Amino acid sequence: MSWLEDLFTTRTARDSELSAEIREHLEERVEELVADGMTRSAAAAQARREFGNVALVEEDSRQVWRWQWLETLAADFRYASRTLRQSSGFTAIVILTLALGIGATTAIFSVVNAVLIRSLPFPHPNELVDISERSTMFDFMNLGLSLPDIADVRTSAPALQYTSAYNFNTREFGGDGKPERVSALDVDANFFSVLQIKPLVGRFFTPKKWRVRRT
Amino acid sequence: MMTPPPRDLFPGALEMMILRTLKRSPLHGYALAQHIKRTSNDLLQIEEGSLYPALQRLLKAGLVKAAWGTSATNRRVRIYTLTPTGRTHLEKEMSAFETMLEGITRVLAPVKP
Repeated sequence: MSWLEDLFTTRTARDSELSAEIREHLEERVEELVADGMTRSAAAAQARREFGNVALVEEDSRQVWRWQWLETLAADFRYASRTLRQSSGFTAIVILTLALGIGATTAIFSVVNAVLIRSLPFPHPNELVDISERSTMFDFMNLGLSLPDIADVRTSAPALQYTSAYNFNTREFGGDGKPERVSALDVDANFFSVLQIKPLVGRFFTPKKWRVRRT
Repeated sequence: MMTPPPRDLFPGALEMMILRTLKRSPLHGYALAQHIKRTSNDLLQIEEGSLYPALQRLLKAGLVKAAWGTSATNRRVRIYTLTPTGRTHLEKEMSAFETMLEGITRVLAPVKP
């Protein structure tokens, strides 16, 4: 950001130059009055009287430059947009490149944010694994597991502290009024142990109530 | 915004006098103030300080340029010099001012019976 640095350095340089200049002016007047036989304090008072309000003079002097940088900036923008309009092909490619670049970066960040940065709201989220089946015959990803398969996983994967089966579903919620369809998850009792969550009120159901109905 | 102190000069008059003074020789702020005071026989009520905003305006407009140097009394001072643009500007301003002054003088002159 060199223009920004330029802006501040030239401004501070100009301000301190001005202050130095005014100081020199007052000193020169004091010297002259002292040479004429006046006491130093009387000379200083008279020099200031003749000069006027130092702070106001400095402020007025700075005010002269105050908006110049903004005008320069506006002129730069006008020049830039004029140049861009003249070579519209180049402009289009630049805009497209920027748009794709920004879009891709945003998309990647969204994924990284969701997957890596914002972790799951459960204890030890890095220890959670999701197991699903995949068809080798058809290109089906994330197939559900059958109940016998779940039982197999449960016995053959001792590295897992808890295992739980779940299934996305919908349920109708209906009291006295109109029933409403809500998203639901069918889970077994281990589900709460896997996620290590506790109910706010009451208790969850326990493994004893979970049974595979054989037909 | 604070109101500026009452001034007996019309806008641009101080700038014109500065440019005219610098046309003779480059000077620093203090010498410039003293010269204007002396030459005007102290008739003009100018605060020395008001010179500096005027000088900044002239610098900004590119009519004068400034450089640090040493004064006759061996002081570190900022010496102002008239630029070529300043020279032409001064000529234009002076002829415009003379025309204006002549007009005003004519109107103010006592009416002959």
